Amino acid sequence: MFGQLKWWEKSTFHTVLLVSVSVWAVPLGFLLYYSWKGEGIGNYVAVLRLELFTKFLQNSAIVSFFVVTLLVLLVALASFAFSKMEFPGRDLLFYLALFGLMIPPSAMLVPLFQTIKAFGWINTYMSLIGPEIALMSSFAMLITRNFFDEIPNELFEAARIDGAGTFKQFAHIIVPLGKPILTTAGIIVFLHSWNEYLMPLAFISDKTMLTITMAPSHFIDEYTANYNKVFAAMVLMSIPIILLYLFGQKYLQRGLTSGAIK
Amino acid sequence: MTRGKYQWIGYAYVLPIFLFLILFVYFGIVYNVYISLFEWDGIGEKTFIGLQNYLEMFRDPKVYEALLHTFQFMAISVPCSMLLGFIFALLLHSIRRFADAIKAVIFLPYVMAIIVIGITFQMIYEPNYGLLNEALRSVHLDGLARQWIGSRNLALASIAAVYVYSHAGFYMLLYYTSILNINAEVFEAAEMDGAGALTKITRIVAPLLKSTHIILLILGVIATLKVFELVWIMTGGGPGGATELLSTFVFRSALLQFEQGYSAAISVLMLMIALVYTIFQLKSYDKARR
Repeated sequence: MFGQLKWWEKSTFHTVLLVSVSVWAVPLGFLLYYSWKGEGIGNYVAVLRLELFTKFLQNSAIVSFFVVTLLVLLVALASFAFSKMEFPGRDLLFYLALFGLMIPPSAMLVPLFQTIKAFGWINTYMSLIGPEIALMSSFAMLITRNFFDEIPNELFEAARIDGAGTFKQFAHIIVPLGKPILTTAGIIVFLHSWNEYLMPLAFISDKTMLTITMAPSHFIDEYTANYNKVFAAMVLMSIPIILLYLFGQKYLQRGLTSGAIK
Repeated sequence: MTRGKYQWIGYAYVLPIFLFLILFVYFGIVYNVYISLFEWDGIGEKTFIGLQNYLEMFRDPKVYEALLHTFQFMAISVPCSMLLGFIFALLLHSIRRFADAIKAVIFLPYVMAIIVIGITFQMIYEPNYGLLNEALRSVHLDGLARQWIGSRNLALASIAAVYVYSHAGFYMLLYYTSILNINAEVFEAAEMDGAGALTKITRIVAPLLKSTHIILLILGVIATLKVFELVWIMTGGGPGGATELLSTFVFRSALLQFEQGYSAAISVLMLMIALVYTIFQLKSYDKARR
């Protein structure tokens, strides 16, 4: 956009950019440095040897897997109907489905706690999976529906003439053509689910059922004063996120921007 | 689409996700309103008390404080994130090399778990040997070393700064993409008129991105209404209630003090604020777009 910059414009821009990137890099560097301080790799080994840490990782992986799989499937089905079918109350239902976008999760604690207790889901994976799917579905539905709207209706009409029912259309048109947006939704939902803090804090008291975001506070209580190991745990739990960012950048950026600018 | 004929099968496709929404969202909203009319510890008998919880809420100075803190948090974090995000996006457009690496550094805090960011900054803000005060002392600015999150005056702003740190990347991304979408001819025409970089920014980019500014403002306000984790992790609402938000207040009264009825009433207040704000903003957004 800037074309040719004058030398002083260029040097001002580069200086400001260098300073801001340094400010942003310092806390990340501090996180790494502090996790290494003391026993170096030993901090990491110690954390990985803790049975509970691997248990937390496993719990997070299970919860995130089910959240992502179920949510992507159910949202794809619903967005298909919202985008390509005509039925009474469709638009009203779609707006209702977007409700979750504005709801502060903390304002749902009282009812969620009672619902989860009534179903006997306290201290189970379901207490984390259910609310997460419900609260994340609005965003996922917004971006997938926008994307499906761009798929030409003629494809579906042609399929119908060939005698394909709605499920065949879903399997043969929506799934293959919608792959990019479904991947995007899956990545964003995975990040959110992996990082989720409020739900396990509220609904899990059995420490073997805690997820990875609970590890830092748990280890601070358990191993007082050994903050270096807590930091090592925080680096370890960020690795999947960083990998996903590096490999899924394009999808992630497209999803976040298409959810906002439309 | 088949004209004039409804596809009733559509309901079957939307039903599964609606089961989740009904169970965890719609039922929850109604249940909040219902429970707010009772005095209840969550386990024993409910006592119907009508609107008592609401009357109490409107008389409770702690609720007003939490509301004030929520707005203060918003007033600091939303404009700062927008401004920084805008500046970063512009700067990124001024370079050719390293842009991806720089984007990654600024964006990573946004995708990392808030607990990781929160605890890292807890250590940075630590008054005796924390990185921030150490750095200030090392350049002989001892006078600026502070208690940061330990002081009533600075705690909220210090946490808001961390929030800006973790969210600026998102704002940057949206501004960056919006700038990409501006027609290049506009800039070429400006260059022919002899416009420098600063003129281009203030006269072309900033006004052309009006709808991005509005969208980010809306999203920013809604996102700050949802803030809970960062405050809960860093100060738990303290010191002395200095960082208590509506969200931490609700968490405390619902799950630690077992005042289900009262916290339901405050939840209803939060939902009303979010709903009224969303409707109001969407209307003004529509108007601005036309």
